[in-house]
Amino acid sequence: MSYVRIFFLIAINALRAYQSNLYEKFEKILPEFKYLAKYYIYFYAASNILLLGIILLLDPSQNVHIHRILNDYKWEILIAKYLMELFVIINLLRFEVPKGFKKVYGLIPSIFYVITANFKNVYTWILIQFIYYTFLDKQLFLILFILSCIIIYLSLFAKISEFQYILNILKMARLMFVILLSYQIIQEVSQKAGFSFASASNKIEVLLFLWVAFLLILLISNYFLLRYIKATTRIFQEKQLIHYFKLFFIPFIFLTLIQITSSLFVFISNIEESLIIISYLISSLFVKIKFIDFLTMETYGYYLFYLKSLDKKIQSEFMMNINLNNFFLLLPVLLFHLCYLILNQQYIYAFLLMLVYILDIKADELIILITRKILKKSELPNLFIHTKKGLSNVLLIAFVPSAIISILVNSSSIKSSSLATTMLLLVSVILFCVSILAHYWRKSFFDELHK
Amino acid sequence: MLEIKNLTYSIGEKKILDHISFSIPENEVTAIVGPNGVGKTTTVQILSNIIKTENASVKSLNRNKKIVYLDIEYLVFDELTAQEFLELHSRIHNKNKEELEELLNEFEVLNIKEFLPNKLKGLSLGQKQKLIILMGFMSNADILIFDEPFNGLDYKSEMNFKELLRKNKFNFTIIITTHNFHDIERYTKQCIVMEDSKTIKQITNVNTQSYKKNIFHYLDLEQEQYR
Repeated sequence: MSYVRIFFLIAINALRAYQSNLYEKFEKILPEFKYLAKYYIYFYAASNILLLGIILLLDPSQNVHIHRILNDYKWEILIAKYLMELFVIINLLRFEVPKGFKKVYGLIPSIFYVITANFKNVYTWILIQFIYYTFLDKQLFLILFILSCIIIYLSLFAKISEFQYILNILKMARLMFVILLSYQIIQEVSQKAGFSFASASNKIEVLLFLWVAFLLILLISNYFLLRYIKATTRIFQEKQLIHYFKLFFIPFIFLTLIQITSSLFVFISNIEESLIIISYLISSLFVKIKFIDFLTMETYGYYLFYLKSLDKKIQSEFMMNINLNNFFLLLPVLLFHLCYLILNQQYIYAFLLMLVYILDIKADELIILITRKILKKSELPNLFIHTKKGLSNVLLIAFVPSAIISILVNSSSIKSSSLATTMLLLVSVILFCVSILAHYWRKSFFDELHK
Repeated sequence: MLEIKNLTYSIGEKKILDHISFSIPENEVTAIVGPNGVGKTTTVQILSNIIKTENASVKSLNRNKKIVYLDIEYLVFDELTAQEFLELHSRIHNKNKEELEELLNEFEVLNIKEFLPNKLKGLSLGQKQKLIILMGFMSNADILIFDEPFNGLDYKSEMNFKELLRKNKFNFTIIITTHNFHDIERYTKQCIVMEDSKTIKQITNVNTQSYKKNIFHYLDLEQEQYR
């Protein structure tokens, strides 16, 4: 049996499926560039191979900071490896093949199929091995690599129906690893003499804390979002959580960049808080666009006609659900930014950010109410509704951070804390006004529905 | 004869199969018939070990024979053409090009060659069914199990497939589940009629007239309606 040709044919199938999905996405989002889809795969493959090459060429002993982290946080790094591998293994175990598939196609072709159908997960696993090969002691890596290979082999073998309990145990293990990792980092960092979050020399520790906060918020939202996001014309499903968590990397990247650049440039350091607010507003904009089905009353489309015949209490309940969805879906993004501000001891700005969070949702509601339109469900992903939903973010980016930056640039003497207090008052007044306006618009909307 | 004894299967409280026993003639075609929900698919899935059981006779059967259950849900390689898919399957089962060509010629009556350049995702139900049939005959199995193989087949293909079953040129032991009784007496050697979870009747095709009559009798059907 020629396994090379078998693997080639199975890989061709996966490649075509990926290209076809990509083409559909391009056609939906960027129809003018849909023909680029077939070239994207080459770019994707080349960049990933290049990344693996760069990782192999890195020499961690040349960099003092990396060398220090590798020595100081050995246990944390090992725990992080298993945590990442666990995510890959859980995804592989979740992938279902039809019962009896292995018997029809044989063991090796079945494994080829699972690997190619999950090539992103398998690539992540390879990437983890490459990173740890470069950064870890080679003997230690070899032992861990053999262990990882055994685990990945078992996860390729296992079928979800037969190994449901293993999946549950692995989910528990994931929770344990996150807690263990968080505990290790907090303990290591707090034991360091003279540690203070605000001091410039501890940027690496702050980044580590951010990573811990990221993991913990991710884990908490994994449980509460599924439970508390209300259904609109759609139900919030577990697979949507994965898309949600991918969005989570946007604020993480933003905040890491802010943290690094603010320690390098004084100018960036001066406007750090404004950048945090911008980061929050941009990140929340991405969440809104991706989960628009759960965040606007226009989600109901024609269903609003039915609302008209319903009891007023039920009507209010529908609107309340949409409002709660807004608060819940944006909450993890807010918490992440709040953690950053609290770590940097910027409490007034933290409070300001909370107000911006509420103001953003209220302003959104007001804009949607003012420009309400009953849509067909199929019209929902069009540009108009997405623009409306993002308008509050754009307005707030134009107002709050710009105001702080312009005041700081124009008068260098003004104190950061008094500026934050002024902004706090200003945003509170705007929030009050927007809430009143939204309240009366909502009232008129329901009255109109009752006619 | 392949003997299955005392087969029992439950889902929760509900007994799907309750101590049923039957035998299957080797190198012949056996049909399993019965009303919807009586447990036909469950029975064949147990026989092929897709549904696990502790039954000793099933375990022994699976130890001694290679049983392949064929269903269109196994056509997961949507983006391959039928030609590529058959190449994949022939390589898995160590068949060379000539053997594949020979088999395709043998199954020419099903018009498989005409959709060979098409991708699997673009095939109709009937065309997928034909591929599954061919897939079965390409395998190195001892026993082939087809679940409702006539679904989606056009009249001509159905007749031609029944003729292929009748000839059974490759001497497989074939088990099919079906609701299609047309010409059943021509291509099956035995029929297992499942009346409910515990009552089954095993009818052997000795006399074609009485064979079909008995099947209809046990299924409580008017023969004229199903001619």
